[in-house]
Amino acid sequence: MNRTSGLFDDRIAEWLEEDPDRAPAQLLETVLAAMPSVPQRRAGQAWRPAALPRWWQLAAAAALIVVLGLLGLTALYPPTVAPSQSPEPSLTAPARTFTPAASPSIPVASPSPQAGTALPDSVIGAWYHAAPGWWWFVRAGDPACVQAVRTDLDCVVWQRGTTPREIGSASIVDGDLQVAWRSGFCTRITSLYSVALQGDSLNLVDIGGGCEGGNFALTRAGTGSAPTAPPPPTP
Amino acid sequence: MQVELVERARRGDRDAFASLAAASADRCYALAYRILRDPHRAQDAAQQALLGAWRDLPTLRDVERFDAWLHRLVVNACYVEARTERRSAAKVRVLRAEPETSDIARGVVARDELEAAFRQLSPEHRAVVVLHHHLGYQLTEIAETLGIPAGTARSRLHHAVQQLRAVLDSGESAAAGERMA
Repeated sequence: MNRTSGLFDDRIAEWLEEDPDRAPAQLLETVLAAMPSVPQRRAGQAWRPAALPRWWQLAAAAALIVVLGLLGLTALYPPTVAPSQSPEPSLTAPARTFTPAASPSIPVASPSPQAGTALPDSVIGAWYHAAPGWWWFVRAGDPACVQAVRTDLDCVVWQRGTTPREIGSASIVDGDLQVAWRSGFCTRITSLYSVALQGDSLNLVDIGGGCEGGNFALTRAGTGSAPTAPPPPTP
Repeated sequence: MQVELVERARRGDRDAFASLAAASADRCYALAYRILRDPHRAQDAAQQALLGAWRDLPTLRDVERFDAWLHRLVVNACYVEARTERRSAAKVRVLRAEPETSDIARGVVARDELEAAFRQLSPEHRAVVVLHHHLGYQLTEIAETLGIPAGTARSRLHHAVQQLRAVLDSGESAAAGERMA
């Protein structure tokens, strides 16, 4: 049977029309709860490569390639330095550096996360996400994390459905949650989430780093409609 | 009215943005759902778009274009969600339903086939189809909303519709064969 384009277009439109039009109430609640923790950008901060002329983008790309090439050559052929010119070793060590994980195969995060503080007690534990999935915030040394992240930082385990878990070190930086992912799809990425904790509801909003981009409306396991959590999957 | 709210919100008025978000939440969710085909991911994408709108609103130059700008944020959020979907989705095989004879059953099968065919499209192609067939955008509007050349919008729409048509035609041919047998 032959169809005209118009009939076929109508069929697609009718099919799309059958999809839901009403958002769950939780959507707006989450947005309004998280909004105070999301700072607005200033107008002058807007900058998008797509807004630039194409010739300018090409010129910038060419310049970048040249710079990277020079850096590569410098790395391959470092200049010889006389012993007397060698820099003195630094006496100050970073406050909290992220060393490679217990397993030597775990790569170091890039960009490097900032030094942070331990997670507050109020977020430690299991949180349910409607994906469905789970976020576990656990203290340093937990078996679920120790093989993927260093032991002197708290960590987070995130699992959506039956997908492989993702593990990262977790710390608080300027009031935001910083996760340096060490295992799973997001490995090597450092994400920053604003945190809005209200009772048994925890909203995480990605404000930098991306990867698991988006925001997460979490409910403490075993409260409300959230089921009881299984233990975090161990490596 | 909306322009005034947008003006106030871009100056940091949270109440104004709350009103805008309340008025836009359904639309954002509907758009995200149609692209992602999943309620939870659609909710995540819509939330991300609305919070991105709040964050970036001061950078919006033409407040009259708020709706199109918000649609762009939703589509971009859907791309991010779809990227995680591709890696997390189990290898689900779509099984063809057993041939049915009633018109109702054939309709259900056709919708399922359309759903399966649509899911095979890339997020970029899905977005163009939804903007055109659901929101009624013309190609120039799609190009402007998504920040792509008009030719790209046209080719994406053409490719997407051709792919959907091919899947449905093959399904109908198979069904006709069943009826002839």
